[in-house]
Amino acid sequence: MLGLIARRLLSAVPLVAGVLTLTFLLVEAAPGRPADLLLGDGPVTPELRARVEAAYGLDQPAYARYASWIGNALRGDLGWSLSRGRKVTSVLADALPHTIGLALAALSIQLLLGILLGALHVLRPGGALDHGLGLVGLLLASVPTFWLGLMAILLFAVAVPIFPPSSAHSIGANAWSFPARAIDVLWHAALPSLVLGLGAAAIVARFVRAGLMAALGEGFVRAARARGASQARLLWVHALPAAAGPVITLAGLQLPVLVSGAVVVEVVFGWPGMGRVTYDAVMAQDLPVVLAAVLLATILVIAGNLLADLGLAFVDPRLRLGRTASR
Amino acid sequence: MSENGSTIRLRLAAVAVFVLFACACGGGGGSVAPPRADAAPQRGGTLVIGSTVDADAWNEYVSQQTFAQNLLRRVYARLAQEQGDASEHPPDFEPLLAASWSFSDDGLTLTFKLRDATWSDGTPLTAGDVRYTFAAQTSPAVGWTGASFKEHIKDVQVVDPRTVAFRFDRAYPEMLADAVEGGILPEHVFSKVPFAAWRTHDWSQVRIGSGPFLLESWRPGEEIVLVRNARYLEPERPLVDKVVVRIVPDIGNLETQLAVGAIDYVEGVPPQDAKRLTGTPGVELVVFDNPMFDYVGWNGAKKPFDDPEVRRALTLGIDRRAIVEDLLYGYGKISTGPLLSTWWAADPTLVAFPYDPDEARRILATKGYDTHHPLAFELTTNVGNRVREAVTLKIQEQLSRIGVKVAPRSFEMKAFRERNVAGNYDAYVAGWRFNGKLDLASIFGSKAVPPAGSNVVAYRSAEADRLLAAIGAAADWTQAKDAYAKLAQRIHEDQPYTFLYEGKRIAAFGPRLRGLRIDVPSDPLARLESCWIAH
Repeated sequence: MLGLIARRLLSAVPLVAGVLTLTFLLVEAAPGRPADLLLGDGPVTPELRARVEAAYGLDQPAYARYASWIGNALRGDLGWSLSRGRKVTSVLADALPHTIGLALAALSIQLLLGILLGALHVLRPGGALDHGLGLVGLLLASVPTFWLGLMAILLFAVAVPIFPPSSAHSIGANAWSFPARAIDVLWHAALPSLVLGLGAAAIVARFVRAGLMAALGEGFVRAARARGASQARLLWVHALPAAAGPVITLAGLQLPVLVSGAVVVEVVFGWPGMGRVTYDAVMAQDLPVVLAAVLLATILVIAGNLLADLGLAFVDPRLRLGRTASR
Repeated sequence: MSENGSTIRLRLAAVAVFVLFACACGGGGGSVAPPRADAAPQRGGTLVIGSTVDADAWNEYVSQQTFAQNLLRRVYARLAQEQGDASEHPPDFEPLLAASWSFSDDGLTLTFKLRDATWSDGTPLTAGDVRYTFAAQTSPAVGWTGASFKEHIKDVQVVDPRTVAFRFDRAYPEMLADAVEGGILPEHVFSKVPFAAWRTHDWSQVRIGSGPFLLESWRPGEEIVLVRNARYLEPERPLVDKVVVRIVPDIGNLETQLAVGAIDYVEGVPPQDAKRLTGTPGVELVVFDNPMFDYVGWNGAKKPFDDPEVRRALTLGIDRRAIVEDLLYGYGKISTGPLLSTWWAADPTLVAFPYDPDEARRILATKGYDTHHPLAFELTTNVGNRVREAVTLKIQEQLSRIGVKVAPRSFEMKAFRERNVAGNYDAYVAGWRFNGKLDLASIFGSKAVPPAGSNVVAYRSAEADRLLAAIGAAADWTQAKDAYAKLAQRIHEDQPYTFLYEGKRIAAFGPRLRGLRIDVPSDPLARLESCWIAH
C-alpha cells in the first residue's frame, strides 16, 4: 500500500510540472499584457507602463518570470496577485477553506442522498418508485446549476426565508464566539452545498442502482438470503459494499470538480471560494494566481484519484486479497 | 479605449486639459435626490450595500477600480469636495479638510488653510501630510495613473502646519480641481512603506483615516465593513454607525436581497431589470447620468472611411433612437459629440444628425455604392459587453436597409484593443468614460495617432488641432467654452465617430435607506455620510 502511494506521488511530479508549464504558456500566449489591468483603459505613457511593469517584475522575459515563480513556489511564496493587491498565499488562504468546506458538504450530500436514492430504486426494480426516482434524477442532473441556485434562493431565502441568500457569514459575525460562527457558516453553506450536491447525487444514484442490481443477483447475496438475512441486511451489509466501487471512483473524480468547478454556485450565492478566484484571475491575466490555482487543482486531481483507489481497496475485499496474494 | 468598469484617466502631455465633471440628471443640473419625504434623520444602524465587485487595493493611488476608489474617498478625505453643479460652469467645491483657499496675485499660487483635523489615531492632520501626498501622487515609483492631474503643479510648500501652498507653472481654469484631486494620506503611517514598494504592499491592514468612515474589516470576495470615524471633522456625521458591503457577483441575487430588505443600496442595476424592480414594494430606483458615451469609430486611415461624407452617410443610416429604446430600455440619451450634454462646455444648440436612410443611400450612391456594389465592412467590439455586442447586430440590421453589408465580430478585450491600436479594423464600437480629466487632444489630436495617443480613428483636422490648442491655452473657462463649442461643431461635421448614446446609471434603494443624494455621478457615494437608516 505504501509502495502504491509512493509510486503515485513520484509519478505526480512530472504531471504537475507539465500542467504548470502548459498553463503558463497558455496565459502568456493570450493577447494583451498583464499590466493593462493595472493601467486602466486610458492612454498610458510608455514611461508609466515601464515603471508599473518593473514594480511587479513584468519587465522580465517570460522564461525568467516562470523560473522565478517556480523557484519561489518551492519556497512557499506563490507571488503577488496583480488583480487583488495581496499575496497569492493570502488569497488562497481566504478562498480555500470556503471551497473545501463547500466541497465536503456537497460531497456528503451527493453521497448520502445518492446512496439513499439508489437503494430506494432497487426496492422494487421496474416499479413506480424506480421509474419516478429515475425521472426526478434525470431532471436534477439536467437542470443548469445557476437556475437551480436561483430557484433555491427564491424558495428558501425569499418565499420561505429559512436560509440566507448569499455569502458565507452573517453581518456582524466577526464578533461572535467560535461555535456561533461555525453554525453560522454551516447555515450559509446549506443552500449552495445542496445545489452543488443535488445534481451529482442524481448521478451517484444511477451508479448505486446499477451496482446494487448487479450485486443482488450475485451468488454471495443469494447465499446470505438463503441463510435468512433480512432485506435490509442484504442491501446495506452485503450488496452495498460490492456496489460501492464505481461510486467511490466517481466521488474521487468529483472532488477536484467540486473544488475548482464550483464557480457557478459561488457566483450565484456570493460564496468566496476558489472557483471565483480562478475565474477572475484568468480574466485578469493574473498569472501568479492562475498558476497557483492550477497547481492546487492538479494536486487535488491526483489526491482525489489516489484516495479513490485507496477507498476502493478498503471497501472491496477482492482488491485487498488480490494485492496481498500477488506480493 | 473603452468603458470597462474601471476609471479611465486620460492623460499625456497634451495641451488641452480640462476637467469634465458630469452633473446631475436631466441635462439641466440640479439634484436627483430620491424624493423620499420623511421625518428627521435618525442616527445609528448599519447600512448594507450590495456590490458585484470587490475592492482591488486599499490605496487610492494603486487601485485601478472605481468602486474601491469611491470607498477610499470616504476613508481619506480630500481638501475640498466637488459639488454636482457642473452643467453651467466648472464644478464648485465646498471645504472639507481645507477651511478656505485663495490665489496669489499672479494667479500661480493656490494656498489652503487647513481645518483643525486629526487622523483617526489622534495624530493631527497637517500641511506636511498634504505635501507628502503630493510627493506620492507624482512619484514615478508609485505610478499613479491620475498623476496628470498634478502635471502643472510645480511643488507643494508647507507654510505652517495649517497652511499649504500649491505652486503652478501656469494659470488655467481647473487649478483648484487639480489641486484637490486625491485623498490626503497620513505621512506618519504611509511613509513606513517606501514608494517603490507601494504596489506590492497589502494596504488592507492599514486602519487609519480622516474621512467619515474607517475600514474595519475586509473579507475578500465576501464583505467589507466600514465603521464610523469618531474623530471625523463633522461631529454630527456620519449618521450610520457602519456600512457593510456585501459582495455577490450575481446582480440577480443582489436585487432579490434588495427586495426582501436585506440590502439597502445597489448601484449598476441593468436597465432590463429596472422595470421589474420598479414594481417591487419599498424599492426605489434612482437614475443618474453615467459620465460616458458609446460610439462607432471609423478607421480614418482606410478607404472609404477616410471620407467624411461616407462617415456622415453611415451616421444617417444608424437609428440611434431605436438603439436607446430597444437596447438601453430608454435609459440613455442620443449623443451629439464628445462633450457630454450635462457638462458645462457642451453646446446645447448642437443637434445630432437625424436618422435619414434615404439621404444616406443617396450619398453612398454618389460614392459608387449601390445594391450591386454594396459597401461591406467588419464592425467589431469586445466580448462580454452585451449591450455593445447587441449594438453591432442592430447596426448590421439597420445598415442592411440602405444596402450596406456589416459583418459584426467580437474580440476578447485585449485582442480588440491591440487590433484597434494597430489600425487593423474597419469600424468598432467602444466608449469613453470620464471620471477625471478629459483630454480631447489625446483622442482627436492629429499628433495622438497611436502609439503616441488614443486617436485610434486617425482623425486629422488642422482646425481641430488649432481649437484643441486654444482650449489648452485658455486662461478661464468662458474662453475655453467658446473653443469647445467650435471644436464640437468641427467634430460633428467630420464624424470621425458616429456618436451613439450617453448612458444612464441606475441605483436601487431598499426600504430602509433615507437621505442618500446622488449629485456627483462620478462619485455616487459622495453623500454617504448624510444618509441614514429608518429603524
